[in-house]
Amino acid sequence: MKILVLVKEVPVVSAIQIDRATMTIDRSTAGKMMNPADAHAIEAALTVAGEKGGEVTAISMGPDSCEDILRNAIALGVKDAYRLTDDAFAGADTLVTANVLKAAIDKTGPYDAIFCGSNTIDGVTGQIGAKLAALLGCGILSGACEITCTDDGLCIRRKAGDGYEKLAASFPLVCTVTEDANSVRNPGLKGKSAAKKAVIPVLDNAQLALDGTALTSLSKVASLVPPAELEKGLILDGDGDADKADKLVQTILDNHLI
Amino acid sequence: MSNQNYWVLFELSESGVKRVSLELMQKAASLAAQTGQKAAAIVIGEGASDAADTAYANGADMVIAVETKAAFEASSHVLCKLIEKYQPLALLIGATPFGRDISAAVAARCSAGIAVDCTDVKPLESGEGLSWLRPSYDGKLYADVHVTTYPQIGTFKTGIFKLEEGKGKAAGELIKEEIEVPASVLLTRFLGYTPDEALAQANIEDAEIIIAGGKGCGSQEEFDKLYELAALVGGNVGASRAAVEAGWVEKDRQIGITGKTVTPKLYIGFGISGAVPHVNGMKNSDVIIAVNTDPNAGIFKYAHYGIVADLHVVVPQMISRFKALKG
Repeated sequence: MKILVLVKEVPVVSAIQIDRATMTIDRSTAGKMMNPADAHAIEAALTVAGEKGGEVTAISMGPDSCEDILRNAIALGVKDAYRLTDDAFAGADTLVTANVLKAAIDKTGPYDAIFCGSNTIDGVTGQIGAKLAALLGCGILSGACEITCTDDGLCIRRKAGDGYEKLAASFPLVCTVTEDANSVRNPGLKGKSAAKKAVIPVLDNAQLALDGTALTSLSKVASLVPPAELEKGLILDGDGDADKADKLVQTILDNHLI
Repeated sequence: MSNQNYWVLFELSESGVKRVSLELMQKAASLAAQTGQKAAAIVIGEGASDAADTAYANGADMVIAVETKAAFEASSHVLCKLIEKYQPLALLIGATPFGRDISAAVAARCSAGIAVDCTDVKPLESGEGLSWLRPSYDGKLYADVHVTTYPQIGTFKTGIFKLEEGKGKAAGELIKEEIEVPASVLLTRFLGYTPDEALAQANIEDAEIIIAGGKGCGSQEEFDKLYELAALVGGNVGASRAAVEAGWVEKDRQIGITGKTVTPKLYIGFGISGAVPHVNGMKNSDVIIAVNTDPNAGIFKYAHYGIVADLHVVVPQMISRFKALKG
């Protein structure tokens, strides 16, 4: 069985400094990391490969620096990895990204199961898994918080409002994984050594051969705007904290807030 | 541009139409009224026509109903066919698990641009296209997304727009379409929904009163007192990311960009500094109250009422006051 896991390098979003007065975005202090949910996608891929027998390939689309997360994936037990990069891929929206990933899947696959994180902390669109499934014409199990193998595919549970939804699909399929799905293993010595030695081929558009239409983003960020500031409210004063609490309770009652 | 009308994809559950679909229906009705368009509810599934009255009651001018097997790929197939035939201007979809899947599938199949998890949408001043606003950089900034294709698709979480009374219209046009769904597109099997006590308890999106705790709680024991206070005022307990990361409370109660968006009638935040991602998840609450020891805490900028005080004193005091009121 051939299994693929898609991983993405993301900035540590919370560490990006933004000055809303001047609208300057300073990324220099923010490090880069593997998107948190992707580590759980790797774990799910390795678990299914262990159960069904097979090997896991990892693919990431991004600049040179994202070789690091592919090596991390190999350290965890992924067999081989590819990096997709080309000037023509820069600024890709979710559909262009899905087109590029599909081309890479066609070139390096086919795969029986494709895993990815259910969301990324930078773009936060959660679109890639279901878009890929639509382009590939296969089933989509998204937002998995529990994954089990069936005879010919996978079954997942996902959170939906007040309960859980259960879905299943036969191979080939795409499965997107949340951080609730599993605990990520630690890399072993063998994996670390494989990660060091691995040669990670780069696929660019000369090899993936996507045309201009497939590489045209259909949405763009026209501008970035600061969030609206709300009006300042009333600070209640009192004689000590207990008295302030009493005043607050009185305010809640007076205004019929409960 | 020949594309016309604002569409809302209705999501059906066992108990009827999902709330987020109705919130979007009201929003679509107001956008349509502003621009001389129609607002349409698109209902796909078993008993689709039954939802028509609910659609009119929330501002729909017309309803397009397609009876089909309730399955994600069947809906996706039908929706693509409807888009091809009617060429809508915009399509609004709730950002539920189903909505995320179908929005992505339809955008891919119809080669349509999409803006995900938006907080607002309005017509561009040029008259061509829409401006979709969505949080970016953890909500520190908002991205104004422009889409170059039609229909323009946008998804919204539950609670972004408020359901209002009196938005109903007289029953309008009901179009029943028959669209055959080939078995070959049905690749994902829905095996059912199981209610879960723990998830239901953590369903803060539907709470009218939310008592939220943050880092300032300092310990599991202090955080747990919020449940007692919440029970006394008939509310539920939410949390900031810091409290979730401290392990005091499950992630299902997290309010903010990476958690849930809530719009209760009353929100009280204890020991929450008001980091931007959290504020983005609660700022549309009707009344916001903040309790924090730091007078410069960001949360006070959003609070209607606040006290600069230690929650370790305030929470027990409020509990005893509300207990006394209950006699």
